[in-house]
Amino acid sequence: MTELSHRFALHFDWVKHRRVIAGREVILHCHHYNSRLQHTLESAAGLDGKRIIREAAESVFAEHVMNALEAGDSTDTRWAIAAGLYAHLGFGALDVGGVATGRVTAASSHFVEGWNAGFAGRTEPVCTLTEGYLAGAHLAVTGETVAYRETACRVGGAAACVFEREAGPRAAIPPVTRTLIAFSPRPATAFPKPAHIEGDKIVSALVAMPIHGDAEGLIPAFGVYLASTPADFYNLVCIRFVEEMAAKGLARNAQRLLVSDAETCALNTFRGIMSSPEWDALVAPMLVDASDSLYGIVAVSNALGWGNWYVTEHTPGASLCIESVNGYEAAGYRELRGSAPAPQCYMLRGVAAGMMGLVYGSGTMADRFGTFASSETACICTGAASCRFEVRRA
Amino acid sequence: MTTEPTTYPGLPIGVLTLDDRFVITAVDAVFRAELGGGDELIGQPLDALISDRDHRGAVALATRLTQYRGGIIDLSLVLVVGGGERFVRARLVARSTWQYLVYVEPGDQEESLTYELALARQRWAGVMQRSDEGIVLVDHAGTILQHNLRFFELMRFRTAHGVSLTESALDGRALGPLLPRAFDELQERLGRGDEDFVVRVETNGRTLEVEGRSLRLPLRGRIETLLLVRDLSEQRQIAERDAIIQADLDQAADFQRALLSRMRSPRGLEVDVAYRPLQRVGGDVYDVTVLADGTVRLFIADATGHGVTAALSTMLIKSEYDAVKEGGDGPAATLAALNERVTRTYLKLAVLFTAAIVDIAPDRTLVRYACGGHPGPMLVTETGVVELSEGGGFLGAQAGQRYPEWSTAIAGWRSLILVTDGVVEARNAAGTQFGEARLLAAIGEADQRGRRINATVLSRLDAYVDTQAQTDDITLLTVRPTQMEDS
Repeated sequence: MTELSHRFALHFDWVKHRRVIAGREVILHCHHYNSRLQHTLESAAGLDGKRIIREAAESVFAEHVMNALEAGDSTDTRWAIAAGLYAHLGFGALDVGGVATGRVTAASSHFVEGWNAGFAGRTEPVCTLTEGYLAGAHLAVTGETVAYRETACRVGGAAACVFEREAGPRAAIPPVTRTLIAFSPRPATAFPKPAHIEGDKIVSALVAMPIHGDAEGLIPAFGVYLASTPADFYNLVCIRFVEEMAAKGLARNAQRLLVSDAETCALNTFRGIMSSPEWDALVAPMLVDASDSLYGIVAVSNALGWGNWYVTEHTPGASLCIESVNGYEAAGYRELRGSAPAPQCYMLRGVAAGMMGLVYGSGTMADRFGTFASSETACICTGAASCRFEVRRA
Repeated sequence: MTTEPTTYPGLPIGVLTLDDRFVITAVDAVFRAELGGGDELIGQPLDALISDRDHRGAVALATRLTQYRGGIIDLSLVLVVGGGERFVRARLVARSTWQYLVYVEPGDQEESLTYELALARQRWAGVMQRSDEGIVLVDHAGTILQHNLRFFELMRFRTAHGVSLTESALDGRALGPLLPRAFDELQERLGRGDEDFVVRVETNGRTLEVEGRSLRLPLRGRIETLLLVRDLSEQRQIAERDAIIQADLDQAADFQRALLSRMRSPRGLEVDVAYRPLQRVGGDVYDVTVLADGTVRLFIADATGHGVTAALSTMLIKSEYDAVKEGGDGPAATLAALNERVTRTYLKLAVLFTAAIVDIAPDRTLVRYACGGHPGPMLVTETGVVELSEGGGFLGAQAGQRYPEWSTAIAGWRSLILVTDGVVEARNAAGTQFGEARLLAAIGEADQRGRRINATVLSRLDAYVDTQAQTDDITLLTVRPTQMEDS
């Protein structure tokens, strides 16, 4: 795979603060967020959360794998590229040696590790994204539209996750349709610089770090399991979840849960990051005041491909105003659905509250949850120049 | 056909009727009476009633509604109704596929069980959050029910890749499989259902103590086990450090005892010393020397401060005093010479001390004495106890100091006592000092009854201060003539 790995080289777009791998913008999220988001969708009554995840993964990764292929690649090479990209992104190690017979196995899985670390007692297979990934990869490699289902999963005690191709072709998932919109994010110079935290230095260091799958196709770093997932996947999944819940009269509940997932993610992820040797080496030397931890977290998050955001007002322990100039949710919504009558950045809204809860709360993460409440008071989706989040003690 | 929802006459339980999209379609009379809401609620989604301040309640309701597949949703919420916020217990049930009922009971009155439960939860959460001990509750099957942050921190649960487990993932998970082999005894205790126990676990260079306590309910017996986890490693490290310091102090005390020589009583005199340092070592120092002409020279000094610093000061003082004490000068000149040496050599160390020197003439009928900020000698004669003059400034503060000197005939004397200020400044529970009057009375009493003065004074002092801790070093140096043996 080493000779193919150049196809997965990371490009960091400093203007948009996006991580780009194989031509697609990818977002670094950890197992906390990924497993919680999946849990929210799959536990919802009256809709098929697995279907939403599978379909989004299939359409997004069909494009992504195709981007990594080159003319002249043999079928074996194409499958090797598909498995290599999967591992590089941190999802785990796929053995595609049996794909011709309709069987793919995985000895390691980001999702299994995430669920084992984050939720107790799950026995039902959890590699739903992988089912969609394999369908998308199959389309990219062979041009055939097929479905894969996980028939055994390590989360339930199996030795390996097993994915089997369902018999016969099926209707194709419509490709992702986007309306590209010209948008110039406000420059960093438009915002106050923190007194002690050198944001660009932190982002540069993180971008230079080899954050990609190891021999197991996992990225255990910063005390969490990371994975690079296309922004389109998250946007499709969240938008469709809200839309389907809206049909049941539960749109606000769905939005609230997405915000809640992100808040929980921020509490756990950034706690892990703040306890990591990477934080000690990179950020801790810059910390002078208690509030510097908050600025440090913001700087770290600006290297994750979420876009970039800046603290505009902050009263330690009490409140925070933070503006996102290029959040992937807002950008994605505009491309996928156009403008919106109301703000759409559920992830950043939850993270904003979670960061404050982590820095200024006390007790377990459950105790800290809900300590701060956030609202999105302006959003690029509604025509604003940036997305603005206001956080106050609840 | 629509029928009226079930009501509970006499009970303050209001009912909201919701459609299949959880929008309020009816508000019953009890709700209106108890909570103040009315027709303005009709047409609102249920979650719109939740106060912005009840973020957790809103998320809990959203979660339960999203996952609702039947049964009862039972939550405590803060609702905005009737122009104000109300804390309520809300129970939602499906009445049909297109209608839900929400039974709403005010919970903000002190006699309400809902209120008591919420209060108890807050109290328990407060205890859990602020505890220095790890706390975890497990049920009879060993499943974790609840834990605090300290438990999570102490246990350091990690995946094979070193990634920390999510805190929330602990609750509802079996404790046993999470524990390494070092915790086998704990597992056995839990497995046997032991009532109360304590186990010690050595793991990764740490010593953890786990205390188990059974929680019981009437009729049902043991329902849960409370485990308290303490990290003894820190305590052990402190104890080990203390032991080293203690050993050092013991050795320092030996040095100091050697320094304060067990003097032989000079011919014709009996010397008695009582030395009671505040800590293992002290800041008082004394000496008895017979000069070449037969003069007996008594020296006592009290370095400022206590403990190791003061004890080190006494080393310097004694060393410098030994260098000048036999120089042939009188008491005042000797104090001045001592002050010169200390200030010249140790000014930066701020070795400050009070001192007194008493010379008893070879024929034992005259004393010459000088003081530098130290209490004057006390003389016991047939007529009683008198405190001789005192004066002069501290030694060690400034070079070129001069000290007053006095001489007194002591024919017929019975004892001469030098003390440090720890004696008179000792305080009882009321904060009152022992004082000179009680000191002189104790000396007089000892003399009249033929008892040893130092022992008597200390006895009276101890009785006076009772349970109050000693606050300063205490030294008494008593000399008395022994004519009978000499004659």
